[in-house]
Amino acid sequence: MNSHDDFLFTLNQECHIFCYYLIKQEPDDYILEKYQKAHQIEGSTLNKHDNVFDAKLLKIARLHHYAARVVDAYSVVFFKHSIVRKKLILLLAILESCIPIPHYLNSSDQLPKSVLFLKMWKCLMTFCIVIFLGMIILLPVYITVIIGQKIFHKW
Amino acid sequence: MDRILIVGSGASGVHFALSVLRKGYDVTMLDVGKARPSIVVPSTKFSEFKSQLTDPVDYFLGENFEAVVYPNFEAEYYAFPPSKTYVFSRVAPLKIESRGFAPLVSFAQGGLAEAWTGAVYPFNDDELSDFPFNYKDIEPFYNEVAKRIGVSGAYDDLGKFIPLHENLMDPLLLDQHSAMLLAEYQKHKGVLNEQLKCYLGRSRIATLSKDINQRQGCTYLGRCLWGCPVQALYTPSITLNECKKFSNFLYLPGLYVSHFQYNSKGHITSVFAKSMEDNKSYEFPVDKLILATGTLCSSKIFLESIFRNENKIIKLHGLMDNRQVLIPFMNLKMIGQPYNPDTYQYHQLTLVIERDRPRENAHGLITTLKSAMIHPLIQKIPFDLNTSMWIFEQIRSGLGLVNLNFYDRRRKDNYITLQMNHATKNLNLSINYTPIASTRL
Repeated sequence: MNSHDDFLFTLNQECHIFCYYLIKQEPDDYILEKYQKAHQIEGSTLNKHDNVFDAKLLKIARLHHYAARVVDAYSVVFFKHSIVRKKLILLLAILESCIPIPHYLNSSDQLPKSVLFLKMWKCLMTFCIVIFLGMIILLPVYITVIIGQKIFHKW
Repeated sequence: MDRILIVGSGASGVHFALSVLRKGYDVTMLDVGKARPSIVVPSTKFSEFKSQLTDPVDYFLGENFEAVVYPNFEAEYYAFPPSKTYVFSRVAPLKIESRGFAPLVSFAQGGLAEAWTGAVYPFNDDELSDFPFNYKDIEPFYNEVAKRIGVSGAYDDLGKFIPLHENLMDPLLLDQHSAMLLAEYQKHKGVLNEQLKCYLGRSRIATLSKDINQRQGCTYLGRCLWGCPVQALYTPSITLNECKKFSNFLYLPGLYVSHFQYNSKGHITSVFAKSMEDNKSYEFPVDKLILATGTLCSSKIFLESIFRNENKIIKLHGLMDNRQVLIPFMNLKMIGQPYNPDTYQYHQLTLVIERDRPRENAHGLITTLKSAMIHPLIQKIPFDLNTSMWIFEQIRSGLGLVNLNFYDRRRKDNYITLQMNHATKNLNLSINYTPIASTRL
């Protein structure tokens, strides 16, 4: 495979992981095609990493949908403009454009307020755990990258 | 009879045209006139719409995904869909420099109102106090406009502040959230009116609640944001099409008017325009000229005409503005409720905050969130997207926005003029705006 094919293959893998992370479904061919197309638009910033750590976050997020969640949670707190966030938001925009409602992002739970409140607390706790995991896994990566860059510049 | 030449096809241009066409005048309209894209699957509700589009991502996000809002987007989220890009896209001859001001112009058939949200409110006597006429003098014209375009509203508490003209149709059906807000207002209106000087009522909107002539009343398809497919929501291009049925109306699109010429007595004799297609110049003789290209473009034509005829660059002082504040809100009682996408999408409630001086009353348009693109909002929730999506699902039906407008003020220190671009030798429109010190952040 040439580098362009590698690029598309990687995008496909990425789209599968991110789509499952977002909506617990695999993307169909149309979503894959659109995801690829967005990355190939002239001037797109989706292929440009801000720095080495940004690239590392993307690599980790691509491993599994759980990893994607950890990276996403870490990014929303510490690294809002990360390339992972951009890609996830692009995919979210694609999904909301083509998945029919009312099944998507329209509450069908209609739970009592007290149950809803408890669920929200559960969400918050889960998020805190995920952030904690993110810090344990990703902070050392960040520190390693920073040290590596300092050493490289010294040399 | 005088030859009437109108420049621009926005609301004022087309309604003036219709009025004089009915009186038998020959009318020529020059317009850049970018056309609206054709309506897709016109009779489909929003809830079924996506599955019927051949390329929904292209429709909602644009060919180049220009409607995607990424995390580093700092501007105001006022996103217009790709189907309305033609309303705001500029043309090469018009160059604008502005300080403290974000100009909005349109070269679309129908003008800026092709992307409006339909709010139509007559001025009351306090608001007209700087003009040489009062509400009673212009009431017949409000009645006529309401008859032509179709205005729906209600006889309610807002009648105290907003005059009630004739030809007001019954209001549209309220969405669930708006209905709840209105019901709550009714319960607490004693306190709201007397202590907070706050009044709530049905919006006056240029949307048909029933069929009129060849236009269909609103069928609650829920597609308002992307362009009403049944033309229940009025836009000036509807009246432009009505004008085109007259044999004494000549519509010439694809022309950019730069200036007019006048004689030593100050009578306008001709208008100059360039073809957008081949850049050829044309001169149109005229007896009566109507500039209806909007505040900024009409000012440009006027200023450039003075320059070309008298070699003078003048300033037009007294830009009028009103300050707006966008206030998002969440109605806790609606949390966990589903929302119905197949409803009227724009504001259905209006509030008035009464001030000591009636002309300083503030007006607010209350829009409840229904079918807008939501990825720009979800990403603002400070959790991972998976969590944010679930949270958003629960709060969506309770979200809304108040667009609070303060009163109009003419500011003599703010002005428009021309600026010569020495590199290109073109004249740019220069807008100089500074808010008064007490309102600056």
